[in-house]
Amino acid sequence: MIDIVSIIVFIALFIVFVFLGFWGARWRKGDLTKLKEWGLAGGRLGTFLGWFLLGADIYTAYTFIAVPSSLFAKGAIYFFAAPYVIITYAFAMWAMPRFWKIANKHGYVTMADFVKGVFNSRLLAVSIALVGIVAELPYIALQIVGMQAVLIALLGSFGAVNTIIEFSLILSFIILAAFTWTSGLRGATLAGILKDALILVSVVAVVVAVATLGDFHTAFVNASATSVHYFTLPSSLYNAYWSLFVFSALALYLYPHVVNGTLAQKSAKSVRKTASLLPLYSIGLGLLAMFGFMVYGVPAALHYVNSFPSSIQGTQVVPGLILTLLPSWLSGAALLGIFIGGLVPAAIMAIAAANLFTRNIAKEIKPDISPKGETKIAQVFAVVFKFLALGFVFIIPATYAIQLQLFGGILILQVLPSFIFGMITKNLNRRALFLGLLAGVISGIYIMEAANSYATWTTTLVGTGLGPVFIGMIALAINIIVVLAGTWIANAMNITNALPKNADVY
Amino acid sequence: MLLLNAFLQSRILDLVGNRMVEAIDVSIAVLLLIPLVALLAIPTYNSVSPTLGGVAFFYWYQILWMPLGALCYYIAALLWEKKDKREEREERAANRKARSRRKRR
Repeated sequence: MIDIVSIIVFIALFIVFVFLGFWGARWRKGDLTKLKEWGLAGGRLGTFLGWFLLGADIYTAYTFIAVPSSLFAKGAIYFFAAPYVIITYAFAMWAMPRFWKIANKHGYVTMADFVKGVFNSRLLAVSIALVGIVAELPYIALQIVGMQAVLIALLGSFGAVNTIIEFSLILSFIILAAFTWTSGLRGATLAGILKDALILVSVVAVVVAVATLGDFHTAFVNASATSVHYFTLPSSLYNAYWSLFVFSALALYLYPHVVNGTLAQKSAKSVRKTASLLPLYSIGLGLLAMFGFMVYGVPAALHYVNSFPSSIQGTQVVPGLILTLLPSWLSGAALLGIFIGGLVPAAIMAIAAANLFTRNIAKEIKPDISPKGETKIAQVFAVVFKFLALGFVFIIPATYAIQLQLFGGILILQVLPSFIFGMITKNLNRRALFLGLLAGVISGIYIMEAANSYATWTTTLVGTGLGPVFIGMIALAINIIVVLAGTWIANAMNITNALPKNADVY
Repeated sequence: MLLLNAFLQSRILDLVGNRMVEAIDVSIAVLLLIPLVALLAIPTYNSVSPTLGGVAFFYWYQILWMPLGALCYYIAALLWEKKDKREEREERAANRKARSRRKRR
C-alpha cells in the first residue's frame, strides 16, 4: 500500500542516505580536490568494501526495473541477464587482475591510459575514451528511468499520470546531479552500503511475499494464457539468447565505471577474489527477473501495472508487487532501495565518464591543467554527461529500458580489441585498431537503426541466417576483422607502432 | 588432500599444443569454463519440467548456477593464489641463486 507512512519512511531513509553521502566525502580523509581522490576513492578498498562497491556498481536499475520489465513485455529471452551475471566474472577473473597489475606498475588510472602506453597512439587513446564516455550515457539513462519509475509509483495517486511521469523525471535528474556534485566516489561507496542493505531487505521481503501470497501456479496458468513465451525459449531464439549473454558478459568489465571499481581495490588478488564471489550477488537478479511473470500471480499488482500506458507498464512490475504485497512502512523502504539503486550507480557512471574526459581528452588538448582545475572539469562534466544521458531517455520507451544498457554494450564492446587483446599482444597495428573501432561503432549504430526500422528503439537483436542475434556480436566481429586485416597489411608494408621493440609496456 | 596437492604440482600433456602444461593451470581453466558450458547448453535446460516449487526448470536451473558458479570460481581463485605464490617463491629462489653466484665470482 502507498500511503503517508510509506512516503515518510521513504523520505526519512533518503535523508539518512544523503547524510551518508556527505559524510562519505570526509571519510578516511584524503584531499578531495585531487581527481584521484574524488574519482577512485584513493585506491584503498579491500576485498569486502570492494565487493560492496562492485555490487553497487553492477546491480542497478538494470536489475530492479529493466530486466523484470523486459521479461514482462517479451518473455523468457530476457532471462539472458541471469547467465550473463554469472559468466562475466570468469572473464573478469582472467582479465582484470592482469590489468590491475599493469595499471599499478605504470600508474594508469583509465583504460585509455593503458591503450596509449601499449600502442603509443594518442588518436587511439582519445577515441577509446570517447567511446567509453558515450557508452556510459545510455546506461546512465537507464538508471534515470529506474529512479523515475519509483517516483511514479510513490506519487502516482497525487495527479494525472502524464504530469506525474514528467515531474518524476525532472526530480530524479535534479537529485542525481546534486548528489554526484557533492560526494564523489567515496560518498557513493558508503551510501552504496546502505543501498545494498535496503536492497537485500526489499528482495527478501518481496520474494517471501510473492511466494506466500501469490502462488507460482496461478502465475504460471495466467502467464501461459498470454501470447508471450514466458517459461521456455522458442528454439528460434537460441542464438539470440547465448549471443546476448556471452557478449553482455564480455562488455561489462569494459565499462569505465567498472574499470574504476576494479582499480579502486587494493591488490590484484582482491580483484580476483571479489569477482569470484560476485555471482552470489546475482541470485537477487535472478529472483527479481522472475517478477516479470510473477506479477500474473498477483491480480492486484497486474491491475496496477495495466493502469499505465504500455510504454512504461513494464517498469511498474516490481514497484507494483511492492505496493500491493508489502505493508506500507516496508514498501517505503523497498522503494527507496530501488531509487538509490539507480542513483548511486548513475553517480558512479557519471564520475567515471567525467574522469575519462578530464584525463584522456581535456589533458590531451591542454596538458598544463592544475590538479584543482582537473577536479573542477570532472565535476562540471559529470553534470554535462547526465544531461546528454537524458536525451537517451526519450529515444527508448521505458518498458524497453534494457535496450539502453544493451546499446551501451554494443558501443563499449568495440574497445575490446585495443583493451583485452592489448593485454596479450602489443603487435596489433594502432591504425588498424583505430579503423576497427570506427567500423565497429558505425556498423553497430547503423544495424541498430536498421533493426528498429529507423523508429524508436525496442530491440538490439537483428535477423540473420541463424535467426535473430545480438548486434553487439556482429559489430565486434566486423571490428576484429578490420583490426586483423589492417595489421596484416601493415606488417606486409613494414609499418610499426613506433615503439622500441622491447619496450616495457606490461 | 596429499593426492590433490601432488596432482596440482604435476604436469600433464596438452594435446592441442603438444607440450607439457601445469596441471594447476588446466584445473583453473576447467573451473572457469564449467559454468559457461552448463549455460551454453540451452536445449538441455529449456523446459518447464521438472518444476521446483512451481518454478520452471529453465529458471531454477540457471539460478542454481549462481551459487555453483561462485563455488567453481572461488576454488579457481584459491588455486590461482597458490600458483602466484609458488611462482613468487621460484622467482625469489632464482634471484637468490643468481646473487650467490655473483658473490662467489
